[in-house]
Amino acid sequence: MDVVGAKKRWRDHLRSSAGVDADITIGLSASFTIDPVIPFLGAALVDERYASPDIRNADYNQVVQTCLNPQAAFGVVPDIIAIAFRLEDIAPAGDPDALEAAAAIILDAIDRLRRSFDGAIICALPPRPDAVTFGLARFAHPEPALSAWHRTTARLLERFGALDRFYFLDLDAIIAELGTAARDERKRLLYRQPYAEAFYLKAGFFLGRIIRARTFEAKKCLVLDCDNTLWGGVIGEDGIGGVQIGEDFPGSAFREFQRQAKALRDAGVFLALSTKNNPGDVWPVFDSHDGMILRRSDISVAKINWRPKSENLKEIAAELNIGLDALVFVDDSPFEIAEVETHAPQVTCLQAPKELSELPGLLRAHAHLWDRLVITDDDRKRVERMQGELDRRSLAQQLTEEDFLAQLGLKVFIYQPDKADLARVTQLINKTNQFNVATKRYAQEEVDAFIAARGNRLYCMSVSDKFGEYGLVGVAMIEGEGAAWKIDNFLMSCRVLGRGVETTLLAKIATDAAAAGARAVNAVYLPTLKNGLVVDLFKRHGFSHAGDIDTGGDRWRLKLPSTLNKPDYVELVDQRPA
Amino acid sequence: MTDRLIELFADELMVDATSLNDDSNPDTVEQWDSLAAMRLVAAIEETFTVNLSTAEIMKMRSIGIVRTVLAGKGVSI
Repeated sequence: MDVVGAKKRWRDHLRSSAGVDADITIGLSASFTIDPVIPFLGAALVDERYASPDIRNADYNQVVQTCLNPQAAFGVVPDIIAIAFRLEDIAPAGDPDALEAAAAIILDAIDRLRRSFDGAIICALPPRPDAVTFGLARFAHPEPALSAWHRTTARLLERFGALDRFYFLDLDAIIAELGTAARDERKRLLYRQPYAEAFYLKAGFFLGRIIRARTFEAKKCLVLDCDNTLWGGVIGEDGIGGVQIGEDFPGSAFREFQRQAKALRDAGVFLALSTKNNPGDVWPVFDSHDGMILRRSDISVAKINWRPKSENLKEIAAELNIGLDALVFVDDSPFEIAEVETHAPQVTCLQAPKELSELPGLLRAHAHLWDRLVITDDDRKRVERMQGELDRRSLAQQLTEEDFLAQLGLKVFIYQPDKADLARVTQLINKTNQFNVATKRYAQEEVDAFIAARGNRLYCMSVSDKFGEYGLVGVAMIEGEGAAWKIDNFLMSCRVLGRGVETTLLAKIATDAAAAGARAVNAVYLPTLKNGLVVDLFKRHGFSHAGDIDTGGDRWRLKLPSTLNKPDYVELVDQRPA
Repeated sequence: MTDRLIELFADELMVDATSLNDDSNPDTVEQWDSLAAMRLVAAIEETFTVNLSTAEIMKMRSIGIVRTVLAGKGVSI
């Protein structure tokens, strides 16, 4: 699979499948930018005969929130959820205790997801964190963060390694295989996308294979033709001494092919024959030819006759009590392959190549047909059913989203700006596209003038939690005179989404307005191409619709006093963080 | 007018090529968000076998500017 080809296949697929119902829905959630994996995963799934995969992406760095409420993160409950996090994204570097605490929260959230979610979970093992030290220190005195990484990986494996419907993807192995080609420093700094396309290509390809292996059953039976497939020549004409099978070419090519068939047999795949010969010619080769790897006892069902092979295949499936779609059929004759494809299309057909040196590679090239995840659904089903009931009963006592947020120790600082804050305020006003209700852009002198005007207030919001500080992330511009306060501008960085901090800021405004004697807070939502995220912000916070705006948008009004309060888990501080 | 560069943008942004021209930019094309910008960089590098510097990537705020940057690297479209 190559980068350009895979992207093109996925794009073509998206165009041709618009409006088609999805046959599998996959939700991705990562602590770093994961979007580039979508075309590669998509192409891998389309190549694996999914008609219409729907791949969705949760917001950036919302892994815990996704685990606690996948429906909110993806808009639907997906069939499969893939999670990836990097230690350096979830806690500040150089603080191993914070790292482990943050990792513990993610593991608890994954556990919660596992108990509440019926689909399959694919959890990426976190990649080894980047070293902060360099030079000799990096090699001679590995950082504490490295131990935290080892321990987190070990905990993931111990806690989830033996579970049904739970699979790992070893990102570190992918990075190790690609070496420096795995990384792209430009994209890391520009877009928080730490890895190169080559990394996403491999990750997408392996994700696709894991998904395929759990959805499509592995093939159960390999059906073989004899002449010029298992040995060279025609046994009915050349006789047992004349067929080619043994240590020397061309016999060696057939012998290697047989060795691979034998390996499949040893791994639990049935072997069968469907061949147009006399039984009296065929069995002596299996019984007494020195060059043969396969013996009569390796063959579970043999159809040695002159009937159409499609009929033989149907009988083989019936005798083994497996589906026709569990058969793989190998023949050197294009005619036989075409006959089976026409009359038994469920069978997977492999044409033995004309170029003999390619025969030993035939089964290897189709190894995915036999892919089986180490732990199959069947293996653990009974245990799982019992465990599931126990889990559901204790679910009520599990971590809720509020509990998680409470654990974070969120502090929201709301204050009027100092001179030193104004550059950052102006930057946020002009850069914020998504969480921005009115998208009014102001130059710094306009911000100064706004603050200087009578009755106006500008609120700054900074946020921190027990893992670190997010800095100045929210701005509200208020015209606070008379009986109704007016929200002129209200915006927030997406870095702090999903934590209820916007509620804290709105509640602070409502409280201040009520204290100043106002009877309402008015606001507008002005739609842009980018701010759909906040279309219902005011509605969610108890504002009532107060009319449409002719040029697009809505007016909203909150009557005072209101019941709008900050979330209990947030600590509100009425001053700039120290 | 369509050419390879316009087609590349149309493909990556999943819009009709006739809706794009050299003046098209993130403010005029809904689909051109920061994630699309990332995909565009990858696609431009692969399609025209060039390497873009961070300064060049940050400058690319319209299709016309991308064309100029590519011309500066000897890629004429």
